[in-house]
Amino acid sequence: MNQPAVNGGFAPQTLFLGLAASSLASSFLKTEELSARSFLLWGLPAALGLCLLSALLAAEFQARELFSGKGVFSRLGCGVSGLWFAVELIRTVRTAQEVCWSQFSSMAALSVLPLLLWAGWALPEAVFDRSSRVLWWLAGLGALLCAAGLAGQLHWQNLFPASYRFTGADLGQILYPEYFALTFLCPQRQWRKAVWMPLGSFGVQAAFCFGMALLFGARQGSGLPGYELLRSWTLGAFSRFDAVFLLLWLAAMFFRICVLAHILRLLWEKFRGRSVCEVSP
Amino acid sequence: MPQLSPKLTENLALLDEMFGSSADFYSKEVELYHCRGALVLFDGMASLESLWELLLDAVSRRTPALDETPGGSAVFDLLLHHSGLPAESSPVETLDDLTRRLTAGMAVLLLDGCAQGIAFSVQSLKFRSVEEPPGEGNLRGSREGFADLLRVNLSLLRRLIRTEQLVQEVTQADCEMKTEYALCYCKGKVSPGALAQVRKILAQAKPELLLDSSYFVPWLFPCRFRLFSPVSYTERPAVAAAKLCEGKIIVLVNGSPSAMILPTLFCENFDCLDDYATTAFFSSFLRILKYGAFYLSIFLPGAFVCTAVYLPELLPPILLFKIAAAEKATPLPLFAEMVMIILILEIIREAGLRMPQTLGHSVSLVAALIVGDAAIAAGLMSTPVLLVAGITSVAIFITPSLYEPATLLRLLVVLAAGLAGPVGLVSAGLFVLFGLTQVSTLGVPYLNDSSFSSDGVIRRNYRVLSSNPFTIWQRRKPE
Repeated sequence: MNQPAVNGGFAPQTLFLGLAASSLASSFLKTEELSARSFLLWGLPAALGLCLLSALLAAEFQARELFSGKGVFSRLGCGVSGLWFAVELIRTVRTAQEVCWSQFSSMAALSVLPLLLWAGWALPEAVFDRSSRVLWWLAGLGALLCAAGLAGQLHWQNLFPASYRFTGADLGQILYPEYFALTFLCPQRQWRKAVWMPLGSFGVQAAFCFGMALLFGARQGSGLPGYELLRSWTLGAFSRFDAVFLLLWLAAMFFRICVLAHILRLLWEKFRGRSVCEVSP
Repeated sequence: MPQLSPKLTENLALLDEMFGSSADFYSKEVELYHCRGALVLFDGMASLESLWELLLDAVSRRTPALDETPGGSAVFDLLLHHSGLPAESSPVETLDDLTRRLTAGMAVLLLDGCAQGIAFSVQSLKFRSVEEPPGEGNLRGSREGFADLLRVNLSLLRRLIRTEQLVQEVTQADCEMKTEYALCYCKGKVSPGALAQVRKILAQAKPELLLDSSYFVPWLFPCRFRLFSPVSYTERPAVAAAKLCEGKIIVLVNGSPSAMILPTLFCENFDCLDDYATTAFFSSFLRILKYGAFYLSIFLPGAFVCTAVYLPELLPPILLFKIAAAEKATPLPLFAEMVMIILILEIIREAGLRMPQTLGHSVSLVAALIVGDAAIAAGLMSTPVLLVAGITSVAIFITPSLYEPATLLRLLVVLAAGLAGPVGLVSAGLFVLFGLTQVSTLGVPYLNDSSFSSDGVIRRNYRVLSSNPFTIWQRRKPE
């Protein structure tokens, strides 16, 4: 009694979970000095601009039926998008592996990669949507715990100090392929909500940047990696719960790998001019 | 489908060929209105006493006269339509029907010169009495449990739902034993599409044997591998009746007290009838405990192995020293110890379950105590490992319906965490999540947002719940 499922697209929260994890990764790995004020001044307009661009392109692509899989133009669009998503998949795997190696001294991420790719290829979108809801709950809980563990260590005067020193124009934005394929990835009416994803990614990075500033001062220290924010977490005898949060983050990254694999499958089907019709395994 | 012959001798010869060698087959030739006939039945299923009482009672009544030598058809017509005999309204016309009636415990009167038989309901089937089911404990509410006979079980349901809404369709399965099964639902509440789908699948199913409703699962949910099934089972008529009122479909099979409920949500594994008999606050507290216990039973051993072996810095120093000291005294690595103790506990559980009940409990207890104590004394296993395995083994019994997936997943998580550390633990967690979310039946996802509804993890007051009646089809979502 498995229900046949057609390509209904992903819910915006499913796509955003992966983007949030990816944005967090860029914050973990970032070591350069950056003030909260600079980040806000440059990052927010950039994020808003990206939202606008994403919305305009989505409307244009919908009008031109870029992802319909019919005609040479559409197939070319699917092919180019596919390549971009493939590059993004490789980048995501590399980032996950990098963090696993640096934090857990483990190469195991590569050994579970085939399983993740298989799951991403085989499972229908509905499964990812339902799973993302659970992962969001867990992420929320983890963030809450981390925030609670930082209580008493934050110095609010450090957030926007009176003396402002320009620390560089970091736009804080990575151009993810999801921003430009919203009409393909989301169900008909939901892509309008998904255009705000760049702002969401900015919010995640800003929260991390502000956390660093609150904890360590406006000057983020010389080459102090983002991990240090997580390591400051403490609750009585337990002091290294950053690993728990990293595990949650890793789950979200693995989830993103599955979603990207599934997107590649959908694009491949479109490229070959076949409509996608799945049966849940 | 062979029809009955008008000649009694041919019918009797056929029956003799079919059942003659069976000790319980009973055939008695009689003469009624100068017409030869025969009463056939299975001894022990139909009561001879009831039959003779019934016939004597009929004889004492006034029946219209017949010609001196009436034919079989005339006698048949008189007995079925113009006499006071309480016969079944539909006549027996085929050999299959005759077999079906006889094996249902009826007595059948065959007449010479008539290709039809008259069936009498004189069943005296012996069956297990209606008792409290041992596997589903309850503090309040009904103590009744389903018996093994389908008709008894149907009557138990009918007694609880006394409206025209309840429909109980009885059909014979296409299997070797021609077992009967019943499809029960509430007319106004069930989804007609889903019902038609289930009815069609069950009619087309060809199980070799049908001894329990669970035998239908591979036909209802065909797949090579599935951890969670979107069905649940109950032996309580009260639970089955409650589920029927939620628009669900119940499948009962003759000879089994287990009623299959479909579709089922994941969160329903954490509910029980007692929840509604206690205060909302207390039942919510219990549900949170149950959820915690379920996830603990799956992830605790894996998380323990992962933390102690790969992420020891997460543990407070005093705890870490104790674990390290205990591990130093054992020859096996912590991971192997954990796998071994989980397997031993499973063996003890299985042995306790399959042994005679009088021995089962004591054997389990003694085995657990002796094995545990001896393993520590011999230095084969450490106390923290035994403690963790013990906690998880007990925790799963809070949700017995999830025992099978939880046991398999616990092993999977331990293996993943032991072999691949934190990455393995995360991957296993993700696959558990995918395993839960991929299950969906009749358009109802197994893991949906019901956990956060008014009757989810946190239960609201029963008066509030009653004001918004729930049916399962509200949870239906387009795939």
